[in-house]
Amino acid sequence: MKNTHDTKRIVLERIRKGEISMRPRWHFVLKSTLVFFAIATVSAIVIYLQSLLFFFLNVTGVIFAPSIGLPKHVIYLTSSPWLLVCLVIGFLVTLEILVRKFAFGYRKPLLYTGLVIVGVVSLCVFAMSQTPAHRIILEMTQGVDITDDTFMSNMYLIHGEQLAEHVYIGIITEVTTHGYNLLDSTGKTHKMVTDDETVVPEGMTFEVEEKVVVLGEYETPQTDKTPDLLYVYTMREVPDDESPTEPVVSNQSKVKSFTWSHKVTDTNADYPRSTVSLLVLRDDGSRQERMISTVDGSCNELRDNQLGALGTPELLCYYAGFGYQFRIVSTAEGYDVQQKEIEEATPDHNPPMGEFKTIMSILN
Amino acid sequence: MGDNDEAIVEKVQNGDTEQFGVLIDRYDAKLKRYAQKFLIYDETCTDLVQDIFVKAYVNIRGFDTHRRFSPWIYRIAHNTFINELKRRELAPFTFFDTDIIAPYLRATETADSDTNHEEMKGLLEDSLSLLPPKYREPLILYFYDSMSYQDIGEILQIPLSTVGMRIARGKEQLRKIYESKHGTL
Repeated sequence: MKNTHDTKRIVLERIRKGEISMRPRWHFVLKSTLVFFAIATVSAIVIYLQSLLFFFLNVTGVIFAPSIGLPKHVIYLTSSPWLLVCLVIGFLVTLEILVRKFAFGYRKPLLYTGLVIVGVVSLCVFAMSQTPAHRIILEMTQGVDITDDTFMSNMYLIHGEQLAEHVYIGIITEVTTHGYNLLDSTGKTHKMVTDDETVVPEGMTFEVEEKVVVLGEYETPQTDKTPDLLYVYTMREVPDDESPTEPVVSNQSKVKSFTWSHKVTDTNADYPRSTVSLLVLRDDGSRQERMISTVDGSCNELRDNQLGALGTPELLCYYAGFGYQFRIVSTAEGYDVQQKEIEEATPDHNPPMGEFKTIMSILN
Repeated sequence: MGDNDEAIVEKVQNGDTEQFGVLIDRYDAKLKRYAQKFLIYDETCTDLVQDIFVKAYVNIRGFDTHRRFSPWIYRIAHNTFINELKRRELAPFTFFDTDIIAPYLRATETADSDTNHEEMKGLLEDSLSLLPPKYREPLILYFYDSMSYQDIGEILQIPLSTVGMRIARGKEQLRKIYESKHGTL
């Protein structure tokens, strides 16, 4: 067996001959920087993906679907964005592995570091959920070319379409004997059936003109139930400050024309109320009705005013001295639907002129 | 008495490469014993220890002299030995060890009496090779190199409580192996 002198002699000889040399200090600085950068990047990704996951679950109402009972869990499972769930778990594990490369990570049991990571990520996700970031991106990806193979587009498109399978968003137009009638953004009316098994958030009731998100399923013709009825498993109201966007549908064709649609939907009240929507006709012949707003009064098109994008006139909805004016303008990405509040001047009151604000974007 | 390890490392980092010989003098015998006990002695141990010193020299500028040198070079040794066990397909080390998940209550460091210490060394000499590497390694570092739980934790990069748990379980297994071979202890 070789002794210490052999080891020392052999190693020092190799050092003197230049066979082995010290790595420069910058090598280690760069390595540490890269690991820190990797932690920052993975943290950002996991925060983004987890907030996107909760955004989708919240927008579609799937988040409260676990309480719908065993037979209907299949719907819940197929409607959940599993790819996102797997990605979030994968990136959380990656983050844990990276953190355990440092003394502050490996010195603590995995349970503790895992809880800290999940806690910090959850705080950031909560902070992000207070911003309209995902809603804005989702709206921006509406109408995006599906062949535009960017990560961002696909995240919204894939999940938007996946969730669209059993999720319906729209406005209640009628309370019926079996439930409600729901008008969705494409102009289609769904006859919804609710029963004792339908789960709604505690204390929530539904009325005509309310915007709701519904998780349900059309019964197949094989059953003895009427096939054109949408059986509702869960539904919830969409608060005013949370304007969910309907599931994303990819569309590559250009907009050919816009047509306003305005119907008086509530004649029982002391004053009329109108539902305003916009019919979008594209050059491939497809038509899509986009729900714009529900307003007091009745509406009429202002054909004497300057026409908006694609020759679309402005729309004025008015009642008792107050109202809204709508117009469509061209943008770099497509078109914006804008809205302005108006108030009639009186001899002793000269209200300030309102400004048009964008309430919806339609990509070309 | 000469400079401490960290002062010598600083000299080597600044270009006095001959000082690296002092570190070899101080750690060669310890690392060879660690290798022989952990890998179960064979001829490759000396070559592996040479590899450890070469790796230590190559990476010495990455060592922070505000920390202790001993756990750092033992960490290099640990990685080298684990790779050797994997190469020989003797290591049942897995990607993920479940014993790092939760804290263990019984894992606090206790001062063994001299009698217990010697008794354990006797058991180790007799049955060490029959212990799984996961329990063998912390016992070697604790009983032969007289390292603290904290240092062992730094070398193996596991929580302090896991070090205590592995040492406690290692001792239990060692006693069982001894008793199955020789009857009661």
